[in-house]
Amino acid sequence: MNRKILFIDDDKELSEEMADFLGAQGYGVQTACDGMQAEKFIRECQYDVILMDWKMPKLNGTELLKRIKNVGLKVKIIFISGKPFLDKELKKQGLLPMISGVIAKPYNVVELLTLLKST
Amino acid sequence: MSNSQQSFEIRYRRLFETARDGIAILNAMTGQIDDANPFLLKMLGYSHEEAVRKYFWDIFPQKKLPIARFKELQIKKYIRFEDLPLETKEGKRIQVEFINNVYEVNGKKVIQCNIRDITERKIVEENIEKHKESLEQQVNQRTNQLIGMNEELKHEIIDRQKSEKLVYASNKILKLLSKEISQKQYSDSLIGLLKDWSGCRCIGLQDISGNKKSYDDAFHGYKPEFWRLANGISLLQKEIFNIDILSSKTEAEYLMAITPRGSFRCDNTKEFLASISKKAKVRFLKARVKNGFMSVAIIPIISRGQIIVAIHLADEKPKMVTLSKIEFIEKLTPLIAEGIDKFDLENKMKIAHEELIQAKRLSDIGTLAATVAHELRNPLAAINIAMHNIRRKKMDLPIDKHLDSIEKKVFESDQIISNLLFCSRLKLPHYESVDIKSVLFECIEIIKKKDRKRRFKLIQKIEKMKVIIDADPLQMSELFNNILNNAFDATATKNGVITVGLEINNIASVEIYVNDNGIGIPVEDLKKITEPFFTTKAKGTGLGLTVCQQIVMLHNGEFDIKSELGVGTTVTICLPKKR
Repeated sequence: MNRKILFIDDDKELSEEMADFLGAQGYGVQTACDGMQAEKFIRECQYDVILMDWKMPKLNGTELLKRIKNVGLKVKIIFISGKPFLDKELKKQGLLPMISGVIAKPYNVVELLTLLKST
Repeated sequence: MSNSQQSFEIRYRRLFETARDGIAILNAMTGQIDDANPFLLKMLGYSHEEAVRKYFWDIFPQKKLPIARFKELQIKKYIRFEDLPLETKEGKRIQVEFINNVYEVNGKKVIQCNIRDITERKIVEENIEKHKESLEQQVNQRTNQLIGMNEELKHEIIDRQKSEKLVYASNKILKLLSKEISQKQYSDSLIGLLKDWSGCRCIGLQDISGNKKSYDDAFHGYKPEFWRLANGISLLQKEIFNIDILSSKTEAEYLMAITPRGSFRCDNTKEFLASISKKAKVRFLKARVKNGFMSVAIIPIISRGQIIVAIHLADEKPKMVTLSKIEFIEKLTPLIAEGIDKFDLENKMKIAHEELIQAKRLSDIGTLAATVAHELRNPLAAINIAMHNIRRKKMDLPIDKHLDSIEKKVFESDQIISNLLFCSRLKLPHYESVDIKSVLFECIEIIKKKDRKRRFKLIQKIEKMKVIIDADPLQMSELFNNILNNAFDATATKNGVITVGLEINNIASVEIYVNDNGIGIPVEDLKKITEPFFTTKAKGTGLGLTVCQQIVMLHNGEFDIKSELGVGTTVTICLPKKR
């Protein structure tokens, strides 16, 4: 059975390329362009993995994590970030345990696939 | 005896008896009293019988002088005196005036003494004398007082002159402090003032604080090589005063050369040398006398309990550093210290300020670098994934879609970089005669290509005539690209309408506007949108509008943004045709 991935990024081209790329790897990919849209999708559908950017319009990564936590959804989350301070902030908000992995842009595809497999 | 003789006798007798002066008739040969009138008898307290048995000198308290006077009378026939008082029977003394005449009566020489009581006259005279003396005394006293007052006045004048001089000198220093001058100018001016005040040929300011060398070349008159030598071996900071120029230790014998305020003062180095030990002499000779200085003084300037600077004075002539001169300068040292402290503080503040600017610059560059790094990662990520997709599908066709992605992302990266470069080194415009319409059309074409799929309506309300203005063509296309991009981004979520207009309002200027029906800008953000690094976009450097505004400013134009949330935004640019 295909694993379902929600890819959240406000960069449209990146989302399209990523959907194409991960689709070819056998994943079922849904893309969202901001936090609000992502929240809507998460409520509607069960995903195996969420790949999310932190800096997003309308609802940023931290806010989205809070909402997911409040809804009580159990989902693996991979954070796309190159910012070390995020760890601190997430820890402070008690959101760090929700994160299964972190990967930085621009993606190393081997690293990304390994991370997805292990998650 | 004739009748006339008789009547004369009677008249004389009557006068003799009733006279208000004492009259005595003496035997001119023996000095025995022949007769005495009642007034005299009453004065002396004798009876007539008692009186006529006495001699002239018997009616005086002592006889020696009266006898001498009697003899003088015998010779001169007339004598007058009032310095011998009479003595009464009771032993009382009466001040009298004697007028004595010798004349002959019936061939026999007799002496008539007229005796007048002058006690009262004497008292008056004595009083007058006393009064005169007291007056003289008063006059003397007053004269002395006046002389004293004169002295006081003189001192007061000298004191006043001294304090006036001090006030004048203080004012000169205060004037220096109020001026916008450098530390070097302050020390130079100070040396000039010290030269005026001391009259010495050589003046120097020596930095004692140890860590700064701000006053290294603050000297006048000394040979540079001597100054460097003296500078190294003079005062220590911890002691109020330590004449290390003279010996390695402060010795009691130098204390006589130290003023109460701790300055060293030597008015005659030769005399001073004769009074100190051999060991100290060697040092002193080395340091000062060899250079021929007869007068040497070192005045410490103290701030917060520590010597910060020492004033050195020296002259070949003796008596050039008198105590009064040194004390005068000592009184000014707190003010001089204030100046030195002020410049110290200013130096520290200057350094701190430079550090702050440097830190700010580094932080700006840091923010910039972080923004660039972060923002470039987005398009790079897309390029990266697109590449993998192409590689995977390289046998398949079509791959145009991926190539489009790559092209677009490369354009975006380039845009970020050019914004950064523009912002960091925005140059003055390189003016050319520019067909502004064609520049605008080129930019519109770029934005049209930006998204082939997305549909947005582009309305052009562009003046038909050719419009040539003086402008930098590269900066113009940067300006239009940025504004069109913003409009494009603002209308991304719905079917947007972008209106681009170019109008000629008057002969001198041209107006370009870009209007969109996009999301709009909140009022609180509107003021901040041209600040560097301000952005509401998830991706963006926050430099686009900063650059736009600066380009318009550099072209002496006007830049205006009007926006309403949910309605749209209009950017208006007004550019002069001629520079």
